[in-house]
Amino acid sequence: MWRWLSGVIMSLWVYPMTIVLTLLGLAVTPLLLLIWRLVTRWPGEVIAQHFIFIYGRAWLLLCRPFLPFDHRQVHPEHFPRGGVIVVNHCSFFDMFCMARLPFFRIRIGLRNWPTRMLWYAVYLNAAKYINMERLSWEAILEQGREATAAGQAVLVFPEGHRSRDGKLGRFYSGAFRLATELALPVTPLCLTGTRRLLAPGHWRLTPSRLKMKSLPAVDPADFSGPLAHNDLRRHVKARMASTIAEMKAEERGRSNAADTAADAAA
Amino acid sequence: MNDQEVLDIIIESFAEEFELDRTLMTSDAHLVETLGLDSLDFVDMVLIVQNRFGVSLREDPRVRQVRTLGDIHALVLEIMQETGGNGREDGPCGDGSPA
Repeated sequence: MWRWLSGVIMSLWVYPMTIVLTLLGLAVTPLLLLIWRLVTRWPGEVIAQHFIFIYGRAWLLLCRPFLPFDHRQVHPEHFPRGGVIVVNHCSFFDMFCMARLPFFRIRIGLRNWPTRMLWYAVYLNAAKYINMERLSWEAILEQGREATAAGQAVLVFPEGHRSRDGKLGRFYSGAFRLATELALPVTPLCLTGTRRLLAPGHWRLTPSRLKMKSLPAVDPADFSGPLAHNDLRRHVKARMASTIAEMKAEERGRSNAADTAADAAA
Repeated sequence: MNDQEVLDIIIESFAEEFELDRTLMTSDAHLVETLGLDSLDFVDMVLIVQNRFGVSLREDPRVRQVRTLGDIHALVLEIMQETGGNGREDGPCGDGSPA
């Protein structure tokens, strides 16, 4: 009952506030764009990436009462400049959680559907996010090359879509082929708790403890042969699978300990 | 190597390389709609077939007609027949087993 009620309260808070935040962002963007251009002199896509980052941080702040976020195990040294980041995917809100990374110069590899949300599309396009579904492989490679040469990370959800059963799904090879062909380090990033927050096919939010953990970057030079990207993919996936299993076990242990403490107090 | 052995090797190799569910890997399984392969996987598929059977599909126009697992099986058999049974027109490559 409490879980259901807290979910309703959270939904009644988060959805309207997300709309307000988005409208506010759209309204102030032209002015902020002018200021950012004058003050920072950053290229347009970097400013858009910064705006997306700020939006994500603001959203996480709004959700904070319902979404404690443990990101203490995200280590900046795990992210070499201009590398590839691969993240497991359980919820629509995984994208928002990327604002907890310690930097903002990121181009995310997307499928086509997020670009159909016009209020986001303008920012996604301005930030030069990479449409992995629409573009040819040559175009993806070129955009990846351009981004990483400029010191931006390319972030990909290699499962391609949200996991339906909470398990780590099949990893598509695009991110790993990109890393192999451009000799870019791959940083595995593991995220738990967002499935409980909002699983695919649901609308009611549920308060959840989010946890993010980065792993040391993997050098694609450690893999050779024409199918090196597949070996790299399997290696990264195995590391992520075991880390996510540990993170979930820790969370279960924490929940059980909290239940036991609550029972004892009662 | 008989037809069934060729199919078994294709299923085994694809399941391993692409993390596919073996229960879905029947002869009429559509490579895109049923097994979820994408265009990059097709490039890998050509390499895997080359590694396992020594059959080069890269320049073969028939590969564009491949839609199902059965199609790829039939094409490999066809090329193996054309090249005298073992399909190794370029000589052994990859790990060489068990073709």
